[in-house]
Amino acid sequence: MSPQTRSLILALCLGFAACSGKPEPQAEGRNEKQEVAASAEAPQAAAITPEHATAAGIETAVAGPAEIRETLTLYGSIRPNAERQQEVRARYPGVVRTVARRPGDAVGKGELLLSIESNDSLEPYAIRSPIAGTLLERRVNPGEAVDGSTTLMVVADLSSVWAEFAVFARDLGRIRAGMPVQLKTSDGETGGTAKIAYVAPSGSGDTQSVVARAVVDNKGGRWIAGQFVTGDVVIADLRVPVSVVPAALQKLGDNAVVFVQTDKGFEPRKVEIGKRGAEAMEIRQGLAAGERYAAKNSYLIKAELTKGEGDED
Amino acid sequence: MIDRLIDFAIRQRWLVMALVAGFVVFGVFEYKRLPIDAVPDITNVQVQINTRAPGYSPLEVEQRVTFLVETAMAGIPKLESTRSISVYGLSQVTVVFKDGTDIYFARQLVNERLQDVKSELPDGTLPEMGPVATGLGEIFLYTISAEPGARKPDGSPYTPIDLHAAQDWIIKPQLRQVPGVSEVNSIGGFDKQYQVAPDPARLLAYGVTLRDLIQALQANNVNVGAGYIERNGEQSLVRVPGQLSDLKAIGEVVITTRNGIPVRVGDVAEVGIGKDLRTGAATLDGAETVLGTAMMLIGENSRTVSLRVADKLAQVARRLPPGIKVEAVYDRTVLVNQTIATVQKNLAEGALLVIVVLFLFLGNLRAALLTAMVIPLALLATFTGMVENRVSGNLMSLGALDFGLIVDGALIIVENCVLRLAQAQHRKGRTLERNERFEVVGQATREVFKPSLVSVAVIVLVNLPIFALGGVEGKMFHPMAFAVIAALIGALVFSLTFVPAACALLLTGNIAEKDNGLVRAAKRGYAPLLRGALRARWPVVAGAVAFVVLCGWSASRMGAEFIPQLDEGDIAIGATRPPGTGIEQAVSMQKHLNLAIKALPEVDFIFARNGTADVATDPMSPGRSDVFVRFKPRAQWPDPGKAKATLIEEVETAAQSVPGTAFEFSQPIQMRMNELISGVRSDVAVKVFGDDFGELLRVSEEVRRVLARVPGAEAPKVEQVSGLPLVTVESRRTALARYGLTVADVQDAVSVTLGGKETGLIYEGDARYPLEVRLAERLRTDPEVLARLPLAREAGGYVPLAEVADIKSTEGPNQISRDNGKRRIVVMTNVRGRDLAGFVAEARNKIEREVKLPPGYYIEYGGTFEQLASASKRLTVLVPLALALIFGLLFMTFGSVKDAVLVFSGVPLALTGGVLALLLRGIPLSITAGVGFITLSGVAVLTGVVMVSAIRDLMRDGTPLEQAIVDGALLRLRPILMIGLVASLGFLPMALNTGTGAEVQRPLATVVIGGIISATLLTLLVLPALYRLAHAPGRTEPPI
Repeated sequence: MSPQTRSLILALCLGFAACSGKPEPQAEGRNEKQEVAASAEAPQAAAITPEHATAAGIETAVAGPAEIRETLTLYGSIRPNAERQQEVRARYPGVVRTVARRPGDAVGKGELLLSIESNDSLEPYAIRSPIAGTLLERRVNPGEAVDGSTTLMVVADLSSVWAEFAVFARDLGRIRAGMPVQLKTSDGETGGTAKIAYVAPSGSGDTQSVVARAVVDNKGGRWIAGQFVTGDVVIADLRVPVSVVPAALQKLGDNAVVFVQTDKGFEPRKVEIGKRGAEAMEIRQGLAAGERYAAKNSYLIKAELTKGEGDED
Repeated sequence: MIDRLIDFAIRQRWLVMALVAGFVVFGVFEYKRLPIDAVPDITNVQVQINTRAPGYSPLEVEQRVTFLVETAMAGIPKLESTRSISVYGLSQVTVVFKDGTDIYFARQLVNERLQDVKSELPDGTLPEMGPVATGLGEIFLYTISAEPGARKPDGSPYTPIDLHAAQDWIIKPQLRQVPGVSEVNSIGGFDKQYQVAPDPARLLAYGVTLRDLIQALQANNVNVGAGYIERNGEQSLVRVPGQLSDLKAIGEVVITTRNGIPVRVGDVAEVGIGKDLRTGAATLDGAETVLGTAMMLIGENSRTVSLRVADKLAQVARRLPPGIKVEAVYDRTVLVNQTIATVQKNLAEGALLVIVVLFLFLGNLRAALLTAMVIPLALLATFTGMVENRVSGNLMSLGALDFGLIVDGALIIVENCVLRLAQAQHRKGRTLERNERFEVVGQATREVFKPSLVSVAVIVLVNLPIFALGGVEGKMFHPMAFAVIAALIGALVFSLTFVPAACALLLTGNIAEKDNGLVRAAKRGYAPLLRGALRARWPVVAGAVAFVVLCGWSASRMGAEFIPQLDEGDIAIGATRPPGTGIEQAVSMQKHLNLAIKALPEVDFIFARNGTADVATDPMSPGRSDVFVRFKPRAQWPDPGKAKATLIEEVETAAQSVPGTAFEFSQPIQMRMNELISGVRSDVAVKVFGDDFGELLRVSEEVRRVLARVPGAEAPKVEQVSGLPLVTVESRRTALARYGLTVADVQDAVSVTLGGKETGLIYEGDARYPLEVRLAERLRTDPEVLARLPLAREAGGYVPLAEVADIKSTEGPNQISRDNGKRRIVVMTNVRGRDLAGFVAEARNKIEREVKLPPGYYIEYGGTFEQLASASKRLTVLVPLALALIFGLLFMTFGSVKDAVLVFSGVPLALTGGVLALLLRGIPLSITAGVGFITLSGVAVLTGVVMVSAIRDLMRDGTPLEQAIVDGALLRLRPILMIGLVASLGFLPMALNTGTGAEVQRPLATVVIGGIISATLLTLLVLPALYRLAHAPGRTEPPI
């Protein structure tokens, strides 16, 4: 239904009238239906009644205090705890006579590992394990000549291992000793928690990263040196006075907003976000504790507020 | 020549009858071939080129794909224009050819150009031409769903992946073979994929890069043929299979070895069946479904094709895996049948009424029947003409046929034959000999042949300007004008051959010599009125003129519409959600919307297409949906009498209760047509062309502000093109260099992990599914995972993505539109309260003065005002020309300007009745009503010619003026009344019918009925008075 249609029809009819000498007056009025364009300003509130909200799947919650755990994921690998690893060397040069243990054997502290016949005394002397642990390496066999510089065996106490993570520049300031870290194997299995014990003061020029180390209890023996490990470091764990669930946050223009339920419907509230956790987000400004906000399906409200803007096609 | 033709017809009457019978057989055969649809096809000749560019954002699509394709199309022969849109993952270039170009020729040209450009397009993109279909092509829609509780053979429930696979590999291949089906499109569900979801941590652990993984998959999934070996006379073919066949085999593919130990795909990645990143979905009521659409080839008969599809689908459905069911949700046959039923009912009732009138007036059943015989004959002639000229049958073309008009010519001849035969019998006092009868019939035919010829010529002439209409109006009304002209010419030919022959054959025996009672009563009433009119001729003529002026004035105050919209029964809703709404979010919103509307008791079911279908004939963003609402039959409604408009209001209220969606109400065919033509639908469109998007937006905004200040502008609006949320990963080149990485490493890592990379195909019989490497869904959606995405370094070790790239959240263009190879943004406005031309002139002037355009930017003005301008230009020349020709024709008939003017004066008089009838029924002016006026002017001229020629004949025989007028008028009272009655009664069912499609025909019928009543009255009273005035004694010119 458009004005030119009307003009076309009139032109047709007029043509007849004109030739019979009876011109009809030109039409001026129009009767087209026209949608009134939506106002440019976003409305103050999305008028959605609680019933419609429920029907559409919008769920509300009350803003309030929450524990927020903010975590940072780091990749690294398991290494033997350097403080609990011993290399066994010969005290006097000589020839190995017997080797009492095989790699992988558990050894007690002071347990006989091997005996060496000293070149000087031609008497065998015993070498005993300096610590309780596991025999990791055995580099000699009976009959070999050794001297004091040769590492004969490596014994490590694997009940405690190190998880060493690479920390890149961006995160360096956020990781400190003492932070708890949740460990995961590369298969994604969780493997207990530990604490960051040490963040290296100097980095490696090659990788542009520094090492953050956690001492991991390994009494169960699940960690194997060399294994890759993923750690979620808890960089913040605190109680905040006002928080919302992450699904409540929407972007409206350039602002982060939370939709607060009022008598008129849902009102967009510009908020400042503080700490971000997986289950809760701290709201520093814009929302007070006790206010009811749209927690689930909040996108529907954003859509309701902005739907007029989208043009067809 | 005409005399000889008539004589021949009478002499060789049996031959004529045999020819007519032969023609009937041929005509019926042609009728079977007539493409029939509900409405005329208004799609232009266009070829769509769709190029999928998976993962590309609109900006990249435009730069890498659209631009190249568009440039390749430039300068193609018969090109009208090109336009394109670039949206996420898809480029669509529409090449519009000049009207009348053969579609296959056009496709051939496009294909040639495409070959050149293919090599320049990015890997993995392949331009494809859209189906050979038009806006009317979507004739059959069906859904595929699982029956409640149905299980697969392995005991698990059917998933959307299974349903999609059933559509793709079972149903679609069979439906595509149905003759007349051009394409079967599907939307909804998920495409099955064999997915390899690498775990970044495990990749690092094994020191394997994504590239290693992809290469391993590519290198382990091909079958190779290796020629043949001939040994001892026997030839054996050699083949080296290497194709992967199942999940286990994929997991076992070795990527590399570490210290002699193989690292397999299964070690670093989860292998499973997954879903594709879909761009479209379908919902039926409150659940997801897979929707199939059969598209009809251009020029096919929609009714037969959709019947065939329905048959085939029923066959296929029986062979589907148990538990999967197929339901037809839209079948064009229903609408077409309803429409045809309406037209048929109107035609049958009209024809019956015509026969009754003929019988009553002629008092001779044979004469009445033989006149009525012209109706089917003329119809068959029309069908033949339409088939041969590839004009489709539809509500507009067939619905405009008026039997009154068709039989007019035959009627005059038969009436005169009956009259003359009766007179001759009366003179001779006996029934006539065969030769005498032939003589009288021939004479009677010749007497009135001139008025019949003139009436046909007049109606043909007034229809001619319709052929000058271009664009959409033209496509809409050309078939109608063609049908009317074909029917009339057919009727004329039969009037001159079949009718005299049949008269000669059938009008034997005793012909009632006297008028029957009806006519006698009419004459008794008419004679005093006529004398009175002649006496009071000045007041009568003055009154008539005043009446015409009054009606003309009221016509100018009437509302107008383009054409009345065909009520398709179902409604379609265009649902729009804000740009950036995700497909899954949109589907969940759509389900709520469906359920809210379904709650209405009148709604049978509701289904929706969300986003873009597999064959992207209509690229829609994921947030947009086409919603089809199917109502129950009226009898099942709680209130069967409820008005459609009320129901639509209720649907709208129900829809509004679901937040987040904006609606536009329409109908299935109407919606599709609008999408395809996609012209700007506002009165004025200012198109700003340029290169830089930001600059374009700025200029457009300025144009909008200027437009808003032009008086008459109504809510100018800049087309919404931006607002799509983007995550941009911008590499920091220096940081990359420090780690020994390249930008390509970053791009590969991000595109493979998030977008996925197809590394090959897995075959399952005919079915083939992509083998895709992509991050697991839970990881993809986590923004932190992207930031920490480890990039493996050549030297060993890794660096997280965030160390070497900035990840930014921005907004970008939602879609990029180009017209004729240049980016454009449209500023649209409607105009109220002033004339369009003046508005455009002022707006143009203001914009030129006030908007400063950067170099290389330009503005064009378009919109519907363009069509108005071209249409009115043509019509202002052609309408007067047609009228001049009619006048010339009348002048040739009478050889007298005065008489020609007299007859012509019947036209405005006839129009008054039409206007009054419209006013009384509250129907606005429309082109259909305009066509009614055209018909009217033909009838008015015809009655005028019949009357004036009788008066002139009498005067030539020496009868004095006044006596000649009275005698002539009384003599012609019967044919004039009959013409009026058949024409108006023939349309009566059409005016009163309420079936599907009736609303399109109603204005036409209303105008004709109203107009004919006034035309008949005025011809009978005003014309004699005018004649008396014009031929006042002393001023009489001798008839030539």
